Amino acid sequence: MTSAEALLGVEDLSVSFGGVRAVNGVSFDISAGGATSIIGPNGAGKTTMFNLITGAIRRDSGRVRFKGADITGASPAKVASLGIARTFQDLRIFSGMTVLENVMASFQHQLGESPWAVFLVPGRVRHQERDLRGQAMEIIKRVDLKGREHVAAGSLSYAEQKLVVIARAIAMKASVWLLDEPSSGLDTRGVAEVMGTIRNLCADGQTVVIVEHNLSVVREISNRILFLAEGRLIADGTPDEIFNDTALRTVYFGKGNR
Amino acid sequence: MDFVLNTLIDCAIYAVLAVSFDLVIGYSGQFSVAHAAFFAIGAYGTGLVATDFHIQIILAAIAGVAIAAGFGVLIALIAIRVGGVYLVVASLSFQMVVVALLLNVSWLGGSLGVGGIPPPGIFGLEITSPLGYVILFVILAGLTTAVVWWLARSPFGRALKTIRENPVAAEALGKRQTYLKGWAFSIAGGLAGLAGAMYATYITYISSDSFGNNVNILIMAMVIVGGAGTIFGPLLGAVLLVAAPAAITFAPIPASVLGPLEQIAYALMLVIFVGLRPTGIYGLFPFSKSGGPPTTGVGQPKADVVTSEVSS
Amino acid sequence: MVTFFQAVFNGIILGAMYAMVAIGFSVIFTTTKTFHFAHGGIYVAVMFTIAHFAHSTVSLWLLAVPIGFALAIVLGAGIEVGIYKPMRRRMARHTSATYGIFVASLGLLIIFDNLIIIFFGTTAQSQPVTLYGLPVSFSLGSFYFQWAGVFQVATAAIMLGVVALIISSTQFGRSMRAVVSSVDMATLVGAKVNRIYTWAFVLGSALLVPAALLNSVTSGLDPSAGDNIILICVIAGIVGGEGSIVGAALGGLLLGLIQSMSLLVVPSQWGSSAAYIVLIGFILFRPQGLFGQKLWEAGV
Repeated sequence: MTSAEALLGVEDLSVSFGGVRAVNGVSFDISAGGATSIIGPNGAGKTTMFNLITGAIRRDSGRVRFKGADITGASPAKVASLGIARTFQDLRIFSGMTVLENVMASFQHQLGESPWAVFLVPGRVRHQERDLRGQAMEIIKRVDLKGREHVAAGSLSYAEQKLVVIARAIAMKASVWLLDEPSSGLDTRGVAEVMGTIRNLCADGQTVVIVEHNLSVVREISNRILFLAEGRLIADGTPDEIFNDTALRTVYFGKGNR
Repeated sequence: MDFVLNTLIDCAIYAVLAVSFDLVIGYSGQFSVAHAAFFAIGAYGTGLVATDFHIQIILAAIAGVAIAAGFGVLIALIAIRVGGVYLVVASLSFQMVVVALLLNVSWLGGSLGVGGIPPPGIFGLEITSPLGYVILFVILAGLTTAVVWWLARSPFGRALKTIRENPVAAEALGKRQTYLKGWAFSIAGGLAGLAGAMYATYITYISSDSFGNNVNILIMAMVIVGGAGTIFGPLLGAVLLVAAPAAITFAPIPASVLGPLEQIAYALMLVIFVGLRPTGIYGLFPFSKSGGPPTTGVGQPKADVVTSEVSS
Repeated sequence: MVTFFQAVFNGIILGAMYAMVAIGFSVIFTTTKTFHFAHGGIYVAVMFTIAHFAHSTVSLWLLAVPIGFALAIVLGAGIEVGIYKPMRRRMARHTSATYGIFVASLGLLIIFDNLIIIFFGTTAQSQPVTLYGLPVSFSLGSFYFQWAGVFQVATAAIMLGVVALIISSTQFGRSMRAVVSSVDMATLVGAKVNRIYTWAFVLGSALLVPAALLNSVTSGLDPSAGDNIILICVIAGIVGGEGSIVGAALGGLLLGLIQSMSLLVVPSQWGSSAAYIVLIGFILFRPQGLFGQKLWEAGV
């Protein structure tokens, strides 16, 4: 695929922290639809990649393109409003706010977020709020959190909190999803639910990129795998190609074993 | 009777200060210790515009509020760059510099302060009686509370809360820190300026020693004791912390000790509440369904947190 | 008319004072990450107490200083054990109102300030306490020095050396460093973090005593000294850089110099404002200070 067709692309992206190259000249393109997994040993730079794409950290060199436009250097808020949803490995839900508030806060382009609008066109703001509340309840139902909407997110169980994370991402109505370790910390049932959610998203035509350590999840749901090690992209292929490559296995697991 | 009215007037002024401070510290989670500076800027702005430029007092008050709101943006700029203890220290320094300026720069009043500030009035009608002030100020306090409450309940308020809860996640969800903090600080600053205008037109003579750090501590105590992030908590705190000391002035305590004793009382309440009951008095009552006191509260000032992840 | 070099010397002397208090504050802050505003309160309390005892009877000097140490240590450790520690524990459990410790510390500072005013009055005693037996000042050429000022510089340097020695060579110093780099790791290797924290407060508070003593001689007694000095400590810490005790000391020295030199160009009441402006500048443009590491965490 050429960069022109790609929905999201990075070109020669690099960043160093204190002399260590966390990401080193990585380039890849993601076309619309389907699930791409980024895997690699710890410290390979996977989460850093997400940070670079979303503008959370500043790159040393390289470009990021989204829907044909150069978004390099855009702030995370801008990137989010353009249509890239990003979740965090450590969840980062709004603990002091209810589930409903968490989801409603995630909608983009809310009229009522401007103080002008709040005072000058309260009717329209109220109308949008009602509409958004309805949408939020739908999402909450969809992720199976119905009944918990008025609970403070901080008092939910870990698995429920992960659902809030998904719900927030859904509310963003993004074109690309960057999910950071969506299955970590979950039991087999939780993992199955996450996989189901991701599969549904792909079935809906969404574009999902996930950073994952759970290789069975990766194998199950990805149509493409990017293998990162020490900041470099060292392999790019289908699950079969990647998983049958013994050299890569060594890189991932260290000498010898599977 | 006059005494009660004067106490009510103080309550109203501090209610405006406390409720507006809650927007900054309770809702946005920004620990800024500069609120008294905006109080001062509003008061001086009003006073100077009215006396130096002989502008009608209501217009002068509007000018004072606008100037304070403008300075609020200044603090917002700092708050956007840094958080935690850096913001505390920077805002405290801002406060000290403002007071030093008001004390030392002669055309800002200098050590003589600003006097002869006309009372509130329009088209020849002036407020001269304490009752008149009470009515006007209580209305203003009520309006302020309504404004802040309305904002807090709105999507804007919700977005502010996300910044308080987790700024990084908030950004990833499209909440622009610059915009939101800018607004929060300028609205809060403007309202504190309003309190300053109220104060200036009531006392009619202002000097820089009414705006020191003591005021900051008092406002902070009102918000924390009352319950941060609840609007009505700070309102309660304001009334409590104005009325109680007022009552104590009747006690046979020598004046030289009374002042420091009051300060100790405020500080003690602050320490006790923040240690044992951080959700404040309001937190004792399960009034609100979801817009309650933040269970995670304001971030502990950590020196190693620079809120902008894309740092220099 | 203060000449340039006199201003430099005064600045060094003032800076040494700031450095001493900043070192104590920095020891506490780098170890426990606590923003111990009350440090300034303990400073004035110690200063006034020593001066009070020393003044009443000259022969009580020998008693006054140990009393000062005892007071500093009791207050410092007491605040840590009685207030900060329970609050930290509570914060870890509830994650509620995490601004707690800082506000509590600020409140304590106010309480100390006002207690001093109640007990000792608001007027600053500009008549300094005399150092028993020694001449107050001497002149070198056209420059004027106070003996106490010279002691101040010497003491500051010695203090820095002692602290550096403690940190690098003692068991306590090692524990401190372990806790500074990672509390979790330190706990894992068996360090009793709470004990280390308490000792950090003991050390930091004890370091206040020479500073308070010398300050009462060179500058007299001022109830608002606590507020001023604590802001200086904070600024020095930020200027010096996160985690650097030496940096804080140098920051204090720098601030003293800036304040003194600024007197050459602006009227005296702007002296402290110079420090605040420096602070705001650093915060905006170089939050990592002069010597601190870049506060960069790899990954979000």
